[in-house]
Amino acid sequence: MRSLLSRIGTLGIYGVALLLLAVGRLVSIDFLTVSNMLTVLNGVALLGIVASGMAFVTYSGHMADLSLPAIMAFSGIITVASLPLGLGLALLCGIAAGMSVGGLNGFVVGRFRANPILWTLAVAFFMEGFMRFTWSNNQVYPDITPGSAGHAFIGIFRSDIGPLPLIIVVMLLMLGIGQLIMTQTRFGRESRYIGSSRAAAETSGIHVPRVVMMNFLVAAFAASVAGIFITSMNKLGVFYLGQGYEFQAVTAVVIGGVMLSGGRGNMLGVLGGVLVIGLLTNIMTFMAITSFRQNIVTGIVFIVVVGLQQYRLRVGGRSDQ
Amino acid sequence: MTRQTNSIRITRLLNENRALLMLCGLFGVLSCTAPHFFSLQNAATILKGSCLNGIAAIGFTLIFILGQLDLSIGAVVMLCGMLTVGLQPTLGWGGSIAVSLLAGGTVGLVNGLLVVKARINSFIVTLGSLTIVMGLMFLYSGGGSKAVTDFRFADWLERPLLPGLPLMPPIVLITLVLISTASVVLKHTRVGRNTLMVGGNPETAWLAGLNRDRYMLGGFILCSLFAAIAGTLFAAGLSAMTSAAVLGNRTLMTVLAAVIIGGAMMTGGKGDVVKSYLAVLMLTTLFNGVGCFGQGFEVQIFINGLILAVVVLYEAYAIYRHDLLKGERPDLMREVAEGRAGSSIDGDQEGEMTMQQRDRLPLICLTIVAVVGVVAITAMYFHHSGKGPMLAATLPAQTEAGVDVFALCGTDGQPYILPEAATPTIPPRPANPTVLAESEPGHWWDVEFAGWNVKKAPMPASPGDGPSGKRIVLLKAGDHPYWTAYVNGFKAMANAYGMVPKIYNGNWNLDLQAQQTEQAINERPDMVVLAPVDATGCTPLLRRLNKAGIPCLTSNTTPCDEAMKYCLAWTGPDDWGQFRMLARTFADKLGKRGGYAVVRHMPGSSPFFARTYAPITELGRYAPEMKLLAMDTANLETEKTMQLVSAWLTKYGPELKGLILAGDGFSMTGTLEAVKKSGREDLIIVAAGNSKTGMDSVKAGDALAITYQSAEGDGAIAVHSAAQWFKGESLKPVIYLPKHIITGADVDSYMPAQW
Repeated sequence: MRSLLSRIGTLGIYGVALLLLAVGRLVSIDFLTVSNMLTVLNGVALLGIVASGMAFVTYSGHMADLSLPAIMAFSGIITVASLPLGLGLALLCGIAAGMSVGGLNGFVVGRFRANPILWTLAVAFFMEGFMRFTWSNNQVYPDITPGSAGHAFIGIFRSDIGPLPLIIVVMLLMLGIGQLIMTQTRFGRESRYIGSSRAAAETSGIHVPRVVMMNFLVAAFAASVAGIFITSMNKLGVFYLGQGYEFQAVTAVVIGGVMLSGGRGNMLGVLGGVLVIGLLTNIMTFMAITSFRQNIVTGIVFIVVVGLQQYRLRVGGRSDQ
Repeated sequence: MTRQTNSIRITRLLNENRALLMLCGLFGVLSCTAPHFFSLQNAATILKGSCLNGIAAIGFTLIFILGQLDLSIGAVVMLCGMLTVGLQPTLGWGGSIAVSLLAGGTVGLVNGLLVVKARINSFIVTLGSLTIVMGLMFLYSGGGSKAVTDFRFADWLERPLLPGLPLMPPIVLITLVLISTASVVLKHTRVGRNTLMVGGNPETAWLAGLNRDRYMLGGFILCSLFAAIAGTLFAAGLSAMTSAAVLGNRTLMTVLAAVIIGGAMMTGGKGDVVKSYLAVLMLTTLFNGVGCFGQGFEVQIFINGLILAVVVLYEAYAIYRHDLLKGERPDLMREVAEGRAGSSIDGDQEGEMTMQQRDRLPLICLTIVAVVGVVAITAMYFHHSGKGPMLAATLPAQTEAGVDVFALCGTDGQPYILPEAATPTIPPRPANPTVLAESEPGHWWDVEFAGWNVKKAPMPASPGDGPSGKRIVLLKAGDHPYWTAYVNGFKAMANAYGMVPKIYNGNWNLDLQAQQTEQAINERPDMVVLAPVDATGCTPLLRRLNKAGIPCLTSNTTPCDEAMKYCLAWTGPDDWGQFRMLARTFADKLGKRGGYAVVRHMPGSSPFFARTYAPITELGRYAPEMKLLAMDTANLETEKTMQLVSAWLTKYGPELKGLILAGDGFSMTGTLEAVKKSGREDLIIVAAGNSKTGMDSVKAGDALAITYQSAEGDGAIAVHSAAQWFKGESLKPVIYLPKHIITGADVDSYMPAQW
């Protein structure tokens, strides 16, 4: 009985999603169409990719990585800058650049237990200054003459796999693989222990710094992939791409039932959270609610959903406060 | 042994006073090196500039002491500032301040109840309330700014209490009083010490019978209240408030950094209001000093990040060491501190190695960060001094006699400036524009024709000796590729006239631009060109420049009518005129029929209105059969625009015939993606220009037309007008850049794009 309750709880966000689908259907007949659902997915695909990485940071009890936007912009700029080396190598360079920042984060937070929020905030400042300075606040344009690596690069965001755009496939893949890693691997279980109690994890012989490092690396990898997509989408790299994604991703992760205190939740919930955010925005645009009011509604929905989750946990006697 | 203990004590002393030490060190270094830094006026500028963040930091320190976080302070600052200025005309200062403080307190109460009663993590609660409060602020302001024209209160706040002592205007005094009161209450009263105990050691506090919930609730209310006071004082000091969200976000980030540097810990129980204020002062000094060098925001944010990183690392390192030694005997701990740990605890060679390796790692890491930082800063210094304004002074001053400024061309091959165009005809002002509907052109008369009929305040007289050798300061709005091109044009024209340019970067933050205006005044340049961050919020800045007797021009975005009083002239693109032309091109292509939608600019900017209502009002006259289906902002972000336009395309289907975009960069990219996905090929798209993305779209036939707004010309025309004034020529109150609509027919002559 209890496990049933908890299963409903984890996937409760899908209840919200279903509710939104029903509301949307009432608002407009065009809402529940394949093309509009693709629109919704397309709009949140980038968010989903970032959230799939952020979820690991949150899951292992490190709240949030505020440097993810900087990593997105950095990996994008590096990719564009190294396009002369060929597309494959450029993508590798971009991802490596992003992950090196993640590695630094993971090392400092894992080894010295620096406060993750503050450290990643400092890194975000640092990286912003660095990128602004190095590229003189300019946008970096790839050479997009047909046949060149740049042309192939901007095609990344615009390509399809079967009926689905590539970016949606990548999002679903990353969330799916993330779910497997989180629940089925040793790394996932160790992250969970660290998130639940770092001291207990240490005592039980888990090499905590290494696992934390891995968590931040996974987050940086996801952000780098998102950075490549956002750069390809905009056809240019610039230091402010990705701004705002850190808090949006935390919102999606937390709505999806991954507890900020760590050790609880899963990637299916995160997918639900991402979908709810996309559906909500879409419905409000259909209802001609302007973006100012959308802010208010989104904020209230966020607090209410998370509040209900907390309430459910407390009733189940498993509150973490 | 004693020496060792002493060294530990000294380290601790240094660490505990690190904010003060950093402040003194930074102040000392900058006084010796930075031009125009060391003066009483500049010290006053720094003190005044740290009021907003300083007061907000009080509440934030308190929340830190309680082991919580409040991300909503930036939004509260903006909402309360907006309420103060917005309600003043009806309620008077007393009433409006009371209402805004009440609003701030209410936000805190809600935050607190959600944390205490619903037991939701404060990070989540305040992340949610951040969005909500920001939304309320936008809703109240309509995405514009608010201002009062009664400057008496603002003047009182800024006026030095004692003549000859500029350091202590009331606004600074209020800040200091609030800080010392908070500090005394926290340290020397029972409530204050209880608060520290609740945050630092909840179990003991519980055993001592303290009501944790009550302290938490009080903490959240006070935190929002202090943020409200900060916002209220800021808005009152300027008599204006902007709705550009950057102000709130930067306030949050700066205060967060300052509180950490000041020594508060996120785990709770530790924090000092005075030290937080010192750290705020330190960061303000840093921004001020870097500005004195004429360096951009990149250097400031870089150093800010570096300092924060070192502090966070140091804290982590201290705890790490502490944890390593936890449970050991004190004499052993001392021995460990002396580096003899391994041998005394355990003779095992292996154990010793790991201990020492573990010990060294943080030191190595710190050293690496420090070395990278020093190298980077040095590199930046040399890099910039090679081409920056510092060297510009030593360049041989060219006389303008040899240079034909009209022949100078930008990177797009177009001339920077054209010989003066004819003065446009200005329609008569309606009796009361605000009663007209927003779709009536008359409603916007005051915005569209701001400055044409304004009665100027007394202006300084032109020296009449020509522009050569004159020092001209540009207060630019922020960093953007457009602004990089703008500065190129500005510098090229200044060079042609033999003027010495210096540039401050406001980073879209009204608080920062206000400080930089004072810095510019302290430098006493021959001319200031202000590119306002906010159309209304720039009024007090221009007024200060005018009072100081410094001639100034405004540039780029149109300031409000009131602001035009205090400047010689405004130069820049005729946003309204351009968009009227664009709208007519748009309507002609559509046969003056069908529905259309507008993707708006960023709220808080003047194009947010100009590029929305110029086409709407123009189409209302020129093509009354066309129907406005929807309009909204997507904050100029690609994926938001894509979501927005996709939803519109689904909702309106074939009814939607065309789109008007306020930007041709990310808005254009997002729109084109959405259109492509929908399979529509008949949509007509026009946009503000002219970036590379926009021109590529016009060339590819995806977009019908964009406006021609030369960024380099925008910078050049400001300098050109300044030069004319130095020569003693009279200036028109409003000086427009040439107007043109770029279509597929002539797009090639505007390539390559400037940005």
